[in-house]
Amino acid sequence: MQGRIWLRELLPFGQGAVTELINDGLIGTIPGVTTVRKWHGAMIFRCNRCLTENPRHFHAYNCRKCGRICRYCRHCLNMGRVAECDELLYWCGPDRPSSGSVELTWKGRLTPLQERAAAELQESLLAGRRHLLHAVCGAGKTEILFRPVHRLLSEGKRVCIATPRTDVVLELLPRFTEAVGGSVIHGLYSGSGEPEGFPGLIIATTHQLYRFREAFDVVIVDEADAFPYSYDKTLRQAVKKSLKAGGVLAVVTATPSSAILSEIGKDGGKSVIPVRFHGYPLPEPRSEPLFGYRRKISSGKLPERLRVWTEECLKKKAPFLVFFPSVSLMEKSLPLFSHLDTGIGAVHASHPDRRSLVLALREGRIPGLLTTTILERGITIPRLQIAIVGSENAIFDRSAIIQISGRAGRSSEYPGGDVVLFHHGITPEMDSAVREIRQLNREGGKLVGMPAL
Amino acid sequence: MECLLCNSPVSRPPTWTGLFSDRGKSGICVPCQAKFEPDGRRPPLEDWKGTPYEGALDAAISLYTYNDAMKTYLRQYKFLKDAALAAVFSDKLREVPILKGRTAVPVPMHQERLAERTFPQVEELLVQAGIPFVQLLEKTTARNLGRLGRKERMESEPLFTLSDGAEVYRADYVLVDDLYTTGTTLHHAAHILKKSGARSVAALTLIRA
Repeated sequence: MQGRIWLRELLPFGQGAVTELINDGLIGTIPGVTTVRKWHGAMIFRCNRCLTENPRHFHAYNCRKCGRICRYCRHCLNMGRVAECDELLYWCGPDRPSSGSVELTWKGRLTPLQERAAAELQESLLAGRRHLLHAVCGAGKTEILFRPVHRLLSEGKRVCIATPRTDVVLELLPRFTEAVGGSVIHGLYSGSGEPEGFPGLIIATTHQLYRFREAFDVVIVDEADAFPYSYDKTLRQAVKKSLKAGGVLAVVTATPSSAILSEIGKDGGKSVIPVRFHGYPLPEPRSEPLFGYRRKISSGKLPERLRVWTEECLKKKAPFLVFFPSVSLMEKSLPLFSHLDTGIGAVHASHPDRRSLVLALREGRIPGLLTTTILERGITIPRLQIAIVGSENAIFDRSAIIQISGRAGRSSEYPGGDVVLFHHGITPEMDSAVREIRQLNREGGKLVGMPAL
Repeated sequence: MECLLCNSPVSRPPTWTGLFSDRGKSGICVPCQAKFEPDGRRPPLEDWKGTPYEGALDAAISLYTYNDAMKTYLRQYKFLKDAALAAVFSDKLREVPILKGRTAVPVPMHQERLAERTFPQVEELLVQAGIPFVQLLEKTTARNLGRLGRKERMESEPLFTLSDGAEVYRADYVLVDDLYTTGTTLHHAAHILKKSGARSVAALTLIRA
């Protein structure tokens, strides 16, 4: 229970025992929803679990439990409803030390650049300084984390690796279990259930941090630029709430936004890795006009340039991904692509077998996939070719384009890869993405020449 | 405004009615609305032939089938206790012809259940829709019919009594409930009303399972 925040009804102990602990002062209580008076005099409501203050997240109704008009939070409803008359409980007794000796069982080797970043990260975290690890896609970010995390755990610290995506949690969990032995590691995401034991390391989605309060010495936010962490203020507050007093925040990302930079602050540590682990530069996206593609697709024709590009991929037998700005546009174009090759599939967030389709692409059973931005990160397929259709849409911002380009050329055998932005007009976001990739490649080029690598 | 079910923005053309009242603002978006499947069948009242409850209900109607969208809705409304969802079917409920000329009587919950749920789910539907109703009945058992088989349900003990001080007139009543499964709840409730002097009793349920 230490570090957690629970709804009284959901606590897995008897109610009698809970009351006793409250009277002994070992469990603290706070009301679920409180009214706050702002400096301008307005009264607003705040949910004490997810910390939202958005009036649209609260619904008032005639409650038969407290007999008054009662408000509850609809923002974190899925974790069990929190209302004004509910109590949230947290442990305020003595801290329990993490158990067992921790062992680094990872036997891989780091490149000199990774080595340096790992050392810098570890130094910052031990000194209680915030840290930003800015590493390009495919730089081997997870490997960099192993050693600092191991060091913190062996000092008895509680560590959390938080990420906005469930997919990333599922990918990190087995890698950390393999790399760090002797410690209890929990993976928490929506639908994961409650694992047994007292964990030293928790790998969780950022949403799960709503359930924590003053729990961790260190929180490392991975893929911090991913939706929804970058947009949802309450998620950033949840990360802060889950830190102990004096706890440290570290951020790992390939595309730091200004919000992230300001979160780290001027005096925070910073490490940059501008090259991939194999030392080749990032593929630079090229733009191709595809004016009026919406009308073309709606009238049942595949735009000429896109058709030529796809046919070329099919001829080269290279796997390809085509990103679309919306599910509806993607579904309209799927039959048009099926004319070229019947194997081409399409995936979106609520697709039932999206995992198996991605696997099929990796194993070469299907020639290519149409997708929305859900595949923008976390997938590695050798020789991948990429097209973004409608790259002028707001959904393809700077960080999305950089992430998507980062899917190409990830293996050392095929470091290149074609990334095409099919657009209906070039946007500043597209420009700044290309500029940033060029900038990183320039920095990386200097480093590759250095004897350190 | 945002859809109550999927949080996507809902835009409706501005109207004069919309400016002065809440009518027509069901609170969910068109794609979500389309997932609920209207039910055209009449609930099978003939199942109750030969039992003491035969003829207790004079008419019955259900609005929707119990499909996946409806199951998700009911789960969020009843088990996650999302009282805001009571407004989802308000528009539809107001237009049901069976309510015309009849007095609505919501099927009550047991006091214990009510304390757990914190709001009476059927009554809340009527409150949100602005449909006047009278509370005449009281549930006698806290047991949940959901766990019982069909035969056990149909043979169960009386589930309701008339609440204290309730007056049943020689009038037309319509019972309102969320689910029609075997019809046990509604037949028991209708039986009591008929015995106490109601002229006719109809039933309206949101869902036909």
